[in-house]
Amino acid sequence: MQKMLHDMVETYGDRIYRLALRYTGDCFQAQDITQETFLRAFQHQNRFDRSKPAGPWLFKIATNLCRNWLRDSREIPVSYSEEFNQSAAPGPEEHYLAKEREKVLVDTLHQLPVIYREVILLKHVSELSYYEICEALDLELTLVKNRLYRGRKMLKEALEKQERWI
Amino acid sequence: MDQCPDVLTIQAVLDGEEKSEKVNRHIQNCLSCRQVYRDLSGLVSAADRLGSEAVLPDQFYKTLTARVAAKPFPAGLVAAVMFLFTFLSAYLLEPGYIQWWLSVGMTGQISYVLDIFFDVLFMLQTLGPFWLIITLTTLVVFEVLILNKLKVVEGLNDG
Repeated sequence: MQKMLHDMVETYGDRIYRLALRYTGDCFQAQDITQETFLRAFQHQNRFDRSKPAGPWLFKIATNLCRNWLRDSREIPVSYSEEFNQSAAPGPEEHYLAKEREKVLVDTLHQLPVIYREVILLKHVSELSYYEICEALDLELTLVKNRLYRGRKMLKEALEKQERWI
Repeated sequence: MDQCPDVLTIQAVLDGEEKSEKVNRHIQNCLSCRQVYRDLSGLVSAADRLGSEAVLPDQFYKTLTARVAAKPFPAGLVAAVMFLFTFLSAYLLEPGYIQWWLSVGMTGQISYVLDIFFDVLFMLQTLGPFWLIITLTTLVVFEVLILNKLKVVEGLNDG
């Protein structure tokens, strides 16, 4: 049992953490969500079909936890997390610009409707395949493709609009 | 392939999800599809900026296994033991009391509980003013304590 947990953390831990971090913008909150995901997976392992990969199931739990977090903290705006801005910018000016761009990215992401945001996060942050996203969100393949396309389009347009001001 | 694939199929090619040779060849040879492909690449690179290299802290697995190993508090068991203890001690101290409870049936038990409830209510009515004074005094004491604590927290007591 412990080995299964260890393997799951090794394979999916960081990807779930990144998803939660982008969702919440807070590294402690993201660690809590990641830990709760594995804890729930461990407690309900009898519900898990071992003939299938654990990824989509874990991401389903993580997404539900993130949604709960969003529901409980609706009035708290998601803030920019330093954890994402670890790129070694050469000088202070570049560092400042990178920080500003990151801030704009987070703001823009959180302006997107949640149905598009989730698909984008699962694809671009957690690097799931279409099939895995379908499984994690209980959606039809066409719907995933559609939301991904519309979400990406909205994100790019909103980013272009925002970055004109930097 | 004569007909152009739709934008979602081209997107699937770009994401590495659609591996059909026919579609790939068509995109390479069709000017408008190549343009759609280029536009989609722009959307993908914008969204790719969300990706990160953030990793879980080293002690994450240790904390997780500690939580997994921790046994949940057996609330049901504790409640059952407490009930059994109360029942047995009542029986041992006054066997007739439990026998009465068991003999009167549900209606007898309900009327007994209601009797006690009204008795207590009458008693409280008699002691009304006394309880009012006690409650008000407690509230005032608590408020003073809380206000004092707030002053300490906000630093108003400093200096």
